[in-house]
Amino acid sequence: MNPVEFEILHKKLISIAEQMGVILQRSSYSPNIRERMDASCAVFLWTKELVAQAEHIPVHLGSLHIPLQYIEDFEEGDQITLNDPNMGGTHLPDITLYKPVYFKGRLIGFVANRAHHADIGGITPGSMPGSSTSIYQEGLIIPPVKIVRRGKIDENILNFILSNTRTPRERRGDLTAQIGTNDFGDRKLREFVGEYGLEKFEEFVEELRNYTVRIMRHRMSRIPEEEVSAEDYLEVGDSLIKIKVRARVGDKIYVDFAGTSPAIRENINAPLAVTLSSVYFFFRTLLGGDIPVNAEFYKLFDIKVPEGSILNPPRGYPVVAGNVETSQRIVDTLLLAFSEVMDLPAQSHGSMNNIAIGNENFTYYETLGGGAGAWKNYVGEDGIHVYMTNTKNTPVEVIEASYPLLCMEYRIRENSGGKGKYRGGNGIVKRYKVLEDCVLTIISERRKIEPRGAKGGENGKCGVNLVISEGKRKILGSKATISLKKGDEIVIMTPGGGGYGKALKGDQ
Amino acid sequence: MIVSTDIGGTFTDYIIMDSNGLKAFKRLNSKNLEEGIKKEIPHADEFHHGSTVGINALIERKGVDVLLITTKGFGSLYRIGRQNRKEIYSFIPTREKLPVKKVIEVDERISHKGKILKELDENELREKIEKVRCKAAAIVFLHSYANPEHEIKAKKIAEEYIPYVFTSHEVRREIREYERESTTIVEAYIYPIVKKYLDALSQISENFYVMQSNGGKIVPRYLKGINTLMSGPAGGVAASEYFAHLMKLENVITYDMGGTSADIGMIVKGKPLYTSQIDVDGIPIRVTSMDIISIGAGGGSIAWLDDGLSLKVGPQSAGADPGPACYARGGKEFTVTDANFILGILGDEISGVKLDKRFAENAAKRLGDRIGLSPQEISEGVRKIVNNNMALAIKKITLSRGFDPRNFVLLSFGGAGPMHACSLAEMVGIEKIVVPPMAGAFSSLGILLSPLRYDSTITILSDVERGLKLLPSIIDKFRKKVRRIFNNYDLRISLQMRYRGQGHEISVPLCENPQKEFEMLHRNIFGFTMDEEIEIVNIELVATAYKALKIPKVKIGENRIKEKRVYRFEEKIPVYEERRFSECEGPCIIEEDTATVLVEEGWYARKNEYGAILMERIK
Repeated sequence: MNPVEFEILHKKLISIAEQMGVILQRSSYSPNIRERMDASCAVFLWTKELVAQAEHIPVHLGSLHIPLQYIEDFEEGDQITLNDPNMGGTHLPDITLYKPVYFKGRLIGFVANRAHHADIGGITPGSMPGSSTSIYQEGLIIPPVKIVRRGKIDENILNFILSNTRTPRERRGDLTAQIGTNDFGDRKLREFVGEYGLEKFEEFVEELRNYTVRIMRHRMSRIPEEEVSAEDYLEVGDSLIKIKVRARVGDKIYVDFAGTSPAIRENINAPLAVTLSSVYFFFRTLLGGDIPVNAEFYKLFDIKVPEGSILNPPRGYPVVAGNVETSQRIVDTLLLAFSEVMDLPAQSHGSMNNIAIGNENFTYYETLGGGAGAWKNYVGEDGIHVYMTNTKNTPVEVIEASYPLLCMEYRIRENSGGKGKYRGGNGIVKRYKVLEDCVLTIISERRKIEPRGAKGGENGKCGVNLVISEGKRKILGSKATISLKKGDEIVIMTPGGGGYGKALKGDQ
Repeated sequence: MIVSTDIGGTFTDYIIMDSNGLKAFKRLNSKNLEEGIKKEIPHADEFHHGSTVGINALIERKGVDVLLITTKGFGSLYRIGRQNRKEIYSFIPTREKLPVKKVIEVDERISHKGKILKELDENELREKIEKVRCKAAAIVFLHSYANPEHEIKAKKIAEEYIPYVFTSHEVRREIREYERESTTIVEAYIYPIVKKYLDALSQISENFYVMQSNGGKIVPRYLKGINTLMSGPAGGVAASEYFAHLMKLENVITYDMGGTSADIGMIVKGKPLYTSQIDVDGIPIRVTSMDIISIGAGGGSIAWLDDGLSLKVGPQSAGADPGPACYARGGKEFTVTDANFILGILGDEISGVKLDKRFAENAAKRLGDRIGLSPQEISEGVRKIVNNNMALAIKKITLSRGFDPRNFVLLSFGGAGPMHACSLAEMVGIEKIVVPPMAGAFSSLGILLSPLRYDSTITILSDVERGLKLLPSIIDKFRKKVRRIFNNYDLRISLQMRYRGQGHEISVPLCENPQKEFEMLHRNIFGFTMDEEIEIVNIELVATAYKALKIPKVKIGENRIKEKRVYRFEEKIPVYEERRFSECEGPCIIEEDTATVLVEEGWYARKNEYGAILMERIK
C-alpha cells in the first residue's frame, strides 16, 4: 500500500477510537469519567486483534483485548459487558462493553470501551476498600453477559447490575453512555469500511502489521540482547513481597516473573491484565511513546506470569489496589533489570500514595505524587505522578469547601530526593486537620525500602505516614486503617526519587 | 487613516482604511517587532493592534523577575501544580514551570467561607520583603476569592517596595488556588513587558486600541497582560462573527491556516464559542477567551518519515526563518508550501518573497526517493495528509463541543487556508465555503471591526437565592469601573451554575428564572437533569461598545483570466486576479494580495457584494 494512503487510513482508524472517547466523555454521567477520563476505547478486527486504541490511563494499555477471547456467543446488534479480573478485567470498578461490528452481514470487527465506575458494591462506598481480604468484599463480579440483545437493552441484566451498586442512577447513566459510545464506534467503523471497501481494509491491516513490526524491530535493535534480571519488593505488614523478573529483548521481548511471591490476602494482588499493562507500559516508554499499540505490538511479547502468584492471583483473591500500587512496582523492577545493561534513570517514588478519609457523611479519596528518578542531564521532577497513573490532585480550596478537612500544609518535601550528580525529585508533604471524627485509610508503598539511585546516585528517602493526636505523634505503616478524633492531624510525606551519578562537591 | 495590524508567527498583516477604501498587505516579521511597525506606519488617526509580545515573553521566558507572596505552608504549591505530567510515556516526567524568582510565605489564613482564621502578619511580610529586588509581585492567599482582605493589605505593603504588584482576586476572583496562582504569576511576569511595548507603539496614534483574547478591544491603560495572549486568533473569529452576521450565516467553523499553525474556532447561532481557560505550554491561565484550538498544520509544516517509514506532516514548522525550501533561504525540509508550489497552486511569489522551483523539487526528491514517490506524488501526498490531519481535528473539536460539522459553513482564511478549503470541506462533509476579502490579513480586519470590551468574573459559590441577592451590588461596582473606560455600552450578565458536587459549570444568561433555564440547558447539553441543589459558582459580567465601522461594498462584473498555469503536472487552468474575478467553475485559482484561493474540481465559486468568495459543491 502507498505510504500516503496508509498514513491517512491509519490516522482515520485511530481517530475512530479517539472520537469514541469524546462521545463517552460528553455523554457519561459521573465526574470520574467526564472530567478525569478514567476510561479507554478500542477498535478490533474480526480476528479479535486490536487495531486502534485511545487509552487515557496507562493501566488500560494492554488489557482491552484479553476479555474478547472469552466472548464467543454474539450476533449482530449485541453488546457484551464484563468486569471479571480473572477474564481480563483490571479491577471491579472498571466495566467494559464490547460490540461486534457487521458490514453487509459479515463480521468485520469489534468496538469496545472501558470506564471506571464510582461504585460497584462491596464493603465500602466507592468500591475501593483499603482492607479487603477477598474479591467478594470489593463488589459485584460480572462475567461476560449480553447487556444489549439485537439492539435492545436487556433490562433484566441492567437492573441486576444496578441493584448491586449504591448509586444506581449514576450507573445507569454511565452504562447507557458506554452503550451509546459503542454504537457510535460501530457506525464509524462501518462508514470506514463502506468508504474504502473490505479489500482495501484488509490490505491496510496487512500493511499495519508490517509497519508495526518494522518500527518495533528498529527500536528493539537498540536494546542490548543480554538477559537481565532483578527483584524488588512490596511492603505488607512486617513482611516483604517479592517481585522477580527475568527479561531479554531478542527477536521477541521475553519477560518471565518466575520466583515472584504467591498471591496474598491483602488487596495488592495484580490481576493478569494489570501485570501485562505494566509490562507493555515499561516497554512502550523504553522504545518510544509513538509506537502504535495493536495486536502486532502484543505479538512481539512473550510474557510468563506464574499462576497463583501476586501478579496472576487465583479467583477470589482481593485485587483492588493491584493496579494502583503493584503496577508501579512492576515498572520499577523492569527498570532495575534493564539498568544492568543500559543507561536508564534511577527509580521514581513508585507509589500512588492513596489516601481515603471519611465517615457516614463524606468520603474523600486522593492519590499523591512524589519524586521522579534522576537521569543524566535530568534533575528529577518534584511532587509528580509517575508510571501507571497521571491523575490530577483535588485543589486545597475545593477540599476545604467540600469536606470537613483543613489543609495545614501542602508543599514540596525538600531534600527527600536522592543526592547525586543529578538529584532525584523530591516528594510532597501534605498535612490535614480533620474537623469531624472519621476513619483514615492509607494504601502506600516505599515506606521501608527506598527508591534506588542509579550509577552511584543515592537512594530517595522513604515516605512517612503519621497522625498527631493530642500532641502525640504516631507513625503508621505502608497500609493502615485508623479511627481519628476531631482535631487530629494527618501528615503524609511521600518518597523522593533516586539520584543519578556520584555526587561531587557543588552538585545538588 | 485608520490602521490595524496583526502579528503572526511568520508575517505581520496590515489593513489600512482611508478615503480610498480598504487595503491589505503582509510583511515578513522583523527582528524588532515594534520598530518594524513604526517604520511601516509612522502615524495614524486610529491604530488598532493585535499584540504577540505577551505570549512571546511567556513562551520564550523573557518576562520580568516575579516575587510570589503566599500563605504559610503553601510556598511551593506552584511547583506541584496539579501533580500530573505532560508526557504519559516517559520515565523522566516533566511539567510546566512557572516563572517565579523568589517566594515569601506569610502567616495568615482565611476559610472557604471567608472567615479569618489567622490574621495577616504584616510585620513578617515587611521584614521579608525589604530584602527582595523584583520588578513584579504576585500575591496569592488561599480562599481570597471568598475574602480578599489579606491580599489588599499585603498589596499596600508590597507596593512600597515593588514596582508592579498584582493580587489574585483582582486578576481572577475564582476558586481553585493553583490556576488562580498561575494566572496571577503570568500576569505579573508579562505585564511590565507588554506595557513597555505598548508605550513604544502609542506614539503612532492618540487613539490606540489593543485586541484582547475575548474578541474585543480596550485602551492600553485598562488592559491586562493575560488578555492579550490570544489576541491575534481572536481577531480572526471576531471578523468571522462580523461576516457571519453580514451574510446571515448561522453556524460557522472558522479555519485560519497560516505559516505555522491552523486555528479552528466556531460560531454557533451567530455567536462565537468562548472558553474560560487557555493553556500556554501547559500553564493554565484563567481568562475569558474565544474558544480557539490551534493545530500544528501550516504552510511551513515539515514533511518527514518516521522509523517505520510512514509519511508524516508537522507539527514542526520551518517558520519564517529559514522557511520552506522554495524560499531559497537555506531551508532544506520539504513543506506544505513547497507542495502547493510544485503543484502549480501557488504562483512565483508570496507577499514579496520570490519562490524558487529548483529548491522545492530538490527537497521533494530527497524525501520522495526514500519511499519511491516522485515530486508530484509526494506533493499530492503531503497535501492529502495535512488535509486529513486538519479534517480529523475539526471532527474531534466539533464533536467534543456537541456539534455535527456537516451542518456548518467553512469560513476559510489565513495565507494558506483558502488553498486547502475545498479538499478539507470534502473530507469533513461540508458543502459550503466562504473565503472573506483580505483573507490573508483577516485577523487584522477583525481587530479593526471588533467592539470595545471589558469583562470580569467573580466567584460567589452560593445557592441561587443568596447569589441573586448579592448580584445588584456586584453589578453596581462593575458599572462604576466600566464608566471610567467607555460610555454607551451593552451589559451582558451570565451566571455559571452547576449541581452541587459537580466539577464543571454551565453559563446561564441572567433571566427571570435562572434555575429553570439551567435545567433546560443541562438537559440539552448532557441529556438529563438531577435532584441535587443548584448553585451559582461565578458571575460573569461583560460590557461591549461597538464603533460604527462598515465594510465598503464592492462592484462585481469583470471576470478576466490573468493567465493559464500548469496545474498538477497536467492541464493548464485559469488564474484570476481577485479584483477582476466574479465567478468560475473549478479547477481555477484566484489570487489576491494576501492569499491564494484554489477552487477544486466539482466546486463553483462566485464573489458577492462584500467581496467574499462563495464556493459551493456542484451537485
